[in-house]
Amino acid sequence: MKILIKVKLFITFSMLVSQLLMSAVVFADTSVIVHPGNKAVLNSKDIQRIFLGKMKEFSPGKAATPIDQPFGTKARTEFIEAIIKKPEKQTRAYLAIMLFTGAGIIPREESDVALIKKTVAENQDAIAYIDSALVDASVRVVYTY
Amino acid sequence: MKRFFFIIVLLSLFLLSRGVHAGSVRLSGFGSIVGGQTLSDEDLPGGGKSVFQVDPTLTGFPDAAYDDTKSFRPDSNFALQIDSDLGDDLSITAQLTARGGNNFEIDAEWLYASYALTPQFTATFGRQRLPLYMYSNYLNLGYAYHWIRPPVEVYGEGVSTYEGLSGLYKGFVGDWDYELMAYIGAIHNKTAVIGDITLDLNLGLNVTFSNDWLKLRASYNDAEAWVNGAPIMDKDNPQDIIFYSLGFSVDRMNYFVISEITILEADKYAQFSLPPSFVTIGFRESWMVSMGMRFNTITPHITFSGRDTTLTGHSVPFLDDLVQGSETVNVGLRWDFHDQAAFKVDYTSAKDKSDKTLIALNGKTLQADVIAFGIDFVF
Repeated sequence: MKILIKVKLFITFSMLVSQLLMSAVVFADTSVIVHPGNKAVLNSKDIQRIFLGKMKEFSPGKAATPIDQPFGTKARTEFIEAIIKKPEKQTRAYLAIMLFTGAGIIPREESDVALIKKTVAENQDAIAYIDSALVDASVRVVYTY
Repeated sequence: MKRFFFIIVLLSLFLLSRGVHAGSVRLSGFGSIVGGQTLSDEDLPGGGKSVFQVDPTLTGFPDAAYDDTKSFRPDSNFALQIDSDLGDDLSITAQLTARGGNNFEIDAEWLYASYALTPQFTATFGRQRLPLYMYSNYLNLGYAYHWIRPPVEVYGEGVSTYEGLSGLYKGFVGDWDYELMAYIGAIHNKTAVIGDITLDLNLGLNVTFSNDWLKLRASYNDAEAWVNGAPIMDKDNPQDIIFYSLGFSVDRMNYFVISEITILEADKYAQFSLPPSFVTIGFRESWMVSMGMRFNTITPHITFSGRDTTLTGHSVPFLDDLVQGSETVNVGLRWDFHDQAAFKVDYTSAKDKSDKTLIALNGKTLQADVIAFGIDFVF
């Protein structure tokens, strides 16, 4: 009887652990994607600079054109938290200053994730972030969070 | 005439962008709708009362200052921006602005062509904001800062735009990003309160270093000024004016601290409008320290600022070495009630700290308490 309880406890415990592990994996699962022909190696600071208009090339001669998802979407909020590392309001203010003072071109926003993936798959200069579950061989992952 | 000119510009932008395949036109804008009034003022020897001037580029315009009657004009403005990407790294931008202090007449704060010579270096040609100080480039973009208006003692310069050429280099080293900017050009204002003024910008420089939370900025500007028909500073006798500034900001998730110090040095015959009269000035310093906390959507903040202007006696000898000055405390609240709009309320208390001789002569012209509230938005 005792053994049975132990086994039951063990099974419950392992299920909990595996669920925790799985949810951790799900949480960390956004991919920053580029064209499959783009061999750039990027860290999170590089990605931040590209999306804030401070870095305009993957490497000399290879232009980088970021595509954002709209403010308020889960994807944008998580991107700001993981990569931009500023409060969302500050990010909005930063982009407003950039737009209205001629300091740079702000990334275009696209809400259709399938279209984002298609654009990245077809353009050498594109860079975007999408749910890792949607990643396939048409794009290359340069960073995950 | 001006309106007609802008309609032509607008039409050309749209037509151009349609003609070029790579092109795209983007329409955006921002604005502020703010009301306020003075809660206390000072009686002046001439019989009038002190007012709170918020936009010194509009000195003499009654709508650009708060008095003891409610007004929705001094801090209100609206701007519409048209960006046209012509492809091949060339873009054209027009920002049409209407300021309440100027009876909402349409003007262009920015009207320029920009060309990315390299990914790091952009040359811009046309009408641009004069980037003397940290907030110069977005003085009217209330959505981007916590106050209703940046401290007038530091940012209330008599000129805010120039026409000319600027070069901007953006780069980075390690965790730091930097920007180097150089510009030359001129400012013409036929209807300035001082007269038909020209400022010939010999050279302007500014440099900014920033990382995720710290920003450091320094700027320098050397200009020659003259006023058509002014006896002591006409075109044959231009006066040299030099500006410097140093600024920093610390911006963490929950709080921020910002400060800037500016210095102006002028040749001995450089005349300035210092209401209620014109004076020659030698030296001017201004400063501000501002801090705030962020509690979710609420940002309370406090700011101290001041300005001291040392006069020279070249037009009125007994004014030599007298100081006209003020110190101001501003407390305010920003409430981000909407993603693209913020509600603000600011209480500003300005004290006239001028030399007694000046106060005896003019009264406490710089002293007033003001309350203002309103919303800023972007679209």
